[in-house]
Amino acid sequence: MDWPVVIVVALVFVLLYVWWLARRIARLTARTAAALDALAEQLGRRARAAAALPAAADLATATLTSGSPDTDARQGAENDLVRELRQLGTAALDAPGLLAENRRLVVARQVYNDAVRDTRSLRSARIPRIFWLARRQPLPQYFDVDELDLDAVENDRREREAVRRAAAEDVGRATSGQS
Amino acid sequence: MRVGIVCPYSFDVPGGVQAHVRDLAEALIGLGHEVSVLAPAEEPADGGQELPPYVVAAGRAVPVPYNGSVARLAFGPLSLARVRRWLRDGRFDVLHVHEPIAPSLSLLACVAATGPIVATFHTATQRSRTLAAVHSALQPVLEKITARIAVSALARRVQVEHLDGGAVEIPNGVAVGKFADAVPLPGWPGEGGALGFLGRFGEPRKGFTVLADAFARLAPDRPGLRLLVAGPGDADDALDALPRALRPRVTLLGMVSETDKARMLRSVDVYVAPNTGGESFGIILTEAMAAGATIAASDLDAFRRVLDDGRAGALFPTGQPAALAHCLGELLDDPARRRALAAVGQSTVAAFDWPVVAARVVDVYQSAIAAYPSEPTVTDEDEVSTLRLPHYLRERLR
Repeated sequence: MDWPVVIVVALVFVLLYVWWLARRIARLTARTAAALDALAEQLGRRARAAAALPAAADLATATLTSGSPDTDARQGAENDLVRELRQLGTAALDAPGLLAENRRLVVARQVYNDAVRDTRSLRSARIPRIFWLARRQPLPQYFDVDELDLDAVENDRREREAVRRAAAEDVGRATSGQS
Repeated sequence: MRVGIVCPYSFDVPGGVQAHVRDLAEALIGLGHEVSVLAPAEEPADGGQELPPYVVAAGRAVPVPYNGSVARLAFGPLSLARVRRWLRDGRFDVLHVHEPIAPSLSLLACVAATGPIVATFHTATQRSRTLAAVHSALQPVLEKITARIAVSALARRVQVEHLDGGAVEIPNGVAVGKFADAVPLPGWPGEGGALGFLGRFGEPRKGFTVLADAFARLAPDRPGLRLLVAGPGDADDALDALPRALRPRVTLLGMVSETDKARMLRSVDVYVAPNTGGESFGIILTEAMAAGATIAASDLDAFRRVLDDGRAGALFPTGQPAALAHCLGELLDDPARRRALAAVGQSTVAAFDWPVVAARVVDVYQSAIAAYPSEPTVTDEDEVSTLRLPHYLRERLR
C-alpha cells in the first residue's frame, strides 16, 4: 500500500485549499480597507455640502474631526448630523450639491457594508478559524448610521413643481381669457 | 469611463433584461462613456439578426426554463473563453453584470474577471430554498462583486433575505422622449373606447385571460369598445379566450418593434396590466406613463409602487375580472379622471427617465472603482484561482 503517497496528496490538496482561502481573505480585507477610505471621503463631501446650511454647519464640521467611519465616535457624530438635517425638512435638503452627495453616500456605505459582511462571513467560517487565517487584524466593523429618506425629498420637489406648473397654467389661462 | 456590460439573455429574443441593458448602454453612451455589451447572440453572418454596434455576440444561446419563463442562456467552456477574450480586449474600468445568479454569461464573467464589478439583480423570485442553496455554493464568486444594484424594492428584498446582502435600489429607466412623441396608429383610439394589452398573452402570469374575461363583460353594453393586443404568441391562444362574436373587435399586432410599441401605447384610452404575479418592477407601466396613457393595473406590490399607490393609475384586485371590468367601465366613462391620472403619471415618470437613471448607475460605478484597492482595471486574471499558484510563488520568491 502506498499510504505515504495518499497522505502527501491529501496534504497538498488541504494546503492548496487553505492557500485559496487565505487569498480570498486577503483580497476581501484589502477591498474593505479601500471601501472604508472611499466612505470616509464621501462622508467628508457630504459634510462640506451640509456645512453650507447654517443650522447644520457646526455638526457637519464636528463629524470631520471625530475619527474613522468605523468608530463609534464618528458614527455618533454622523447620526447627530442626519438628525439635524432631517429636522430641517425636505425643502432644505433639496440644495443642489447636498442631495447628490447624500445619494452617493448611500452607495458608498452599501459598498463598504457589503465588503464588511463578505469579510466577516468568510473569516468566521470554520476552516479559516481552524487555520488561524488573518487572526492578526480585528474583524471589520459595519457602518451603521441613520439614513435620510432621499426619495421623499425628490417626491416633494416634484409635487412643488407640479403645483407651480398648475399655478402658471392657471395664470396663463386667466390672461388669455382677459385678452 | 470604459464600461463592460454583460447581458445573460440573448438579444435575438425580446425581454425585460435585454431591453434594460440596451437602454442603459445607449444612455451611458449618451453621457459620453465607452460601452461594450457582451450578450449571447448569433453573428449576423451566421444567420443572427443585426445587432447594435456596441454589442459583442458571444454565440448561440440554449433555451432553459427559468422563473416561469423560457430564458436563453450561454454557459460552458466555449462561452468562458469568449468572456475572457472580451475582458482582455476591452480593458474596462468597470464590469457590470446582470442577473449573476443564473448559470449564464454573467456568472462566467464574475468567475473570470478581477477588478471593480457591479451587479444588477432583476428577479424577485420567491423560491428561497433554491436561492439559499445556490448562494452558499456561489459565495466565492459573489464575494467578487464590489457593488450591487436592485431594480426594485422587491428585488432588493430578495437580496437581503435570501442572498444575505444589501443592494442600492435604482429603478428601471424608460426613454421618456421616445414614448411621449409617438404618433397613434391610424384609426385609433376612435370614439367607442379602446383598451390595450402588451405582452406574451399565452403566458398565464401575464393575466391576458383576466382582461379577456373583463372585455367580454364590458363589450355587450359598449358596442364601440375595441381591444388592441401586442406581443409574441399564437393568435389563436388570444382569441380562444374570447366569445366568437367579440373576436372581430380585437386587433392583434403580433410582436412589435420599439417604435410601434410606443405608437401602440398612445393608441389606447386605457392601458391594462392584468398580471397575476412574478413582476418585480413593471417597466411596461413606466412606458405607458411616458406615452401618456391612462393605466389600469392589478394591485401587485411592484405595480402599486410604480403607480405611486394609485395616484398615477387605477389599481384593481389581482386576478379578478369582475373588478377589472368595473374599474375599466368607470375610467371609460370619465375622460377627466383619465386625463388627471395620465398627467400625474407623466410627472411621476420623469424620475425614471434613462439619463437620470444612468447617472445614478455611474455613481455606483465610481463607488465600485473607489472601493477597489490598487489598479482598478478589469482583467481576466483571477488571482485567487489555484492554477495561478506557481505564478504567485514565483512572484513571492523573487
